[in-house]
Amino acid sequence: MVDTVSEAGLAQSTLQRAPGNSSGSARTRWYEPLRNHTALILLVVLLIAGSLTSDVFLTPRNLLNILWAISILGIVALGQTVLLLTCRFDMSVAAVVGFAGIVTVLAQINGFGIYSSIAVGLLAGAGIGLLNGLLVLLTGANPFLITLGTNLLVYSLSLSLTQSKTLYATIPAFNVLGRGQLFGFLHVSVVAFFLLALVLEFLLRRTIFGRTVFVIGFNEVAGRFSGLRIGATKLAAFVMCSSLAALAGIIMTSRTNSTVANAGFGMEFDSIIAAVLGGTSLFGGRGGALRTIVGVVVLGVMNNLLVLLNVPTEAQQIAKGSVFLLVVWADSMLRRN
Amino acid sequence: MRYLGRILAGPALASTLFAGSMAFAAAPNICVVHNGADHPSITALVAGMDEEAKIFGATVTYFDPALDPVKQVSMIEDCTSRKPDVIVVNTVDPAAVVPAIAKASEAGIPVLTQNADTNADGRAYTKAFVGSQSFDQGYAVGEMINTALGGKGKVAVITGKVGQTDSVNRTAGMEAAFKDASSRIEVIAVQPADWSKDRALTVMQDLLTRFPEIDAVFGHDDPMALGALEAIKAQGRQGEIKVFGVNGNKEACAAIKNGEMYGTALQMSYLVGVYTVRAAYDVTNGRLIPRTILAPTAAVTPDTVDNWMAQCW
Repeated sequence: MVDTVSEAGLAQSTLQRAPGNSSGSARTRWYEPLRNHTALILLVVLLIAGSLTSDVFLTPRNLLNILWAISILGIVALGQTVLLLTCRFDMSVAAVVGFAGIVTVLAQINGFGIYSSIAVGLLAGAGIGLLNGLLVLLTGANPFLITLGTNLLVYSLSLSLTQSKTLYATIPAFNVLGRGQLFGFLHVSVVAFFLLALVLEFLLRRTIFGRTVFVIGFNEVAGRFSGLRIGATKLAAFVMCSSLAALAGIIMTSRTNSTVANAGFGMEFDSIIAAVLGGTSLFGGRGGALRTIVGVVVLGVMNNLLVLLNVPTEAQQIAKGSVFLLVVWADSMLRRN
Repeated sequence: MRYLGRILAGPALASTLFAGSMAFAAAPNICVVHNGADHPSITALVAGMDEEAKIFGATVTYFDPALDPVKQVSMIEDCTSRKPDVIVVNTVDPAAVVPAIAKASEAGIPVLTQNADTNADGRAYTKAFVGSQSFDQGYAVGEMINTALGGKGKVAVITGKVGQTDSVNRTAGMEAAFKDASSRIEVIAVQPADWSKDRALTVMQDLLTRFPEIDAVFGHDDPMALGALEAIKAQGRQGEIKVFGVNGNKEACAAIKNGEMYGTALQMSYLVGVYTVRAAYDVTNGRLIPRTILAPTAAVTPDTVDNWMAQCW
């Protein structure tokens, strides 16, 4: 499922190109084959635990429900993956999720059609991404802080656009995006998530853009010396991340038929956790879009099991905290080697 | 002439003083720290404060910590350093705000809590709580559920953020209503959806998978109740499950009217805003005020919805 061979190959070639970076550690440990796939192991464990403890867990409907539930966070996490590969974050995705939905609904209220309103929402997201990218490139400041700033900015903009009220979509057909099903069982948003992951995986593995993304994460200086278009690629990564967050926001709006400024509350962290859980490094250069699918599915299965097993709410926080720590631990182990 | 002048000046001076005392210290400067501004109930509350502030000539400044308890503490401190006449706090975490409101109170600024109160330690530093009791709202919903289900059945609760005053009290209120009515209603699940409609949809979907039989759902606010309703509709289990919320926003009232939702506890947030400004005015002018100032809660059901429609926000 995950193209580790080419990933390792790329790692090797980039490391060789990078000045001052001697060969990686040669020692292999017993957990070597497992350590790259924390999320898959966790997923298998959760699936076994789920099927043993709940008789409804493994039903097709429940599994499809899980996919429907995660598709929105999944799309945000895909964008975050691209940025993480370049060793950058986007903390503004939470605000963009709300903002894109609000812009789309406002466009509908002002007489735009279904497609043009969606386009306006996506453009708004892309615009925020462009702003993030330009600010990071021009100021050279920490992307984490810059996007934290735009997060506040965009959130306040959303608040003033909505007057803190809930806005309702006005075109009934718009609901198809979030609630519609293909063949009577597969949600449109789930299909969109998987297709986007495949396209992104292709872009990352088979195009110059993708190679450049990985090289930026490994060793930006080396990439610059090799004549790669570092600046343009970074900018594209920011625009991509923000546009995907906007799409997620539009799908969420379509799903609940309404939107509020804080609709994406918490998604900046959840998307990073999902991507890192899948095996994309917090420190760039390692990971991929298909891995993020696994990370998001693990989070979805966990949330589903917490409800199915009626775990008390306080204990739920413990479960989530533990997964977060596991993610950090796995990532630092990967980095050490 | 000099004497005449003095004689005329006397009453004139006195009447000036008297007029002055009528409007003394008139306009309080109020600093409000919300718990999270992005909620329709807060929009209604702010509207109430702004309109009443116009009458009293008060100035109101708002801060929004967006449900972050740490941010709220630093915003209360910011308020304190601005030296307003009154600080109003809608607590995110009842305990976390105590040191900050103690500091404000020690700086001589009266503190009111609004909507969500602080704990017993914190109340030593506050003048009054203005709000609609979240416990009462939960109680009203509990009564509605009990009546609607005829005293027995299975209820699932979708809560706001874990540990927040409103979340804790609304569940407790509902349970107290069941107990007082010696009802045989069973609470089969209590799951958080963090005041998010989308999360409520997902949680409800999972609850529907887990429980083949659910008679009623209590969403801690109307957006979450409406989110749960979407999940119920998606699985075609409408009619089987009665949906309840708290707030009384327009969408929920409309859903009650067309039979999709069964009830909501109408929160008169606008009045909470109005009462807060009046209390702030009184405190500024040295009048004593009651320790607890409550706006009423009304039960909106299919039978009463027409009477309340105008109050829904």
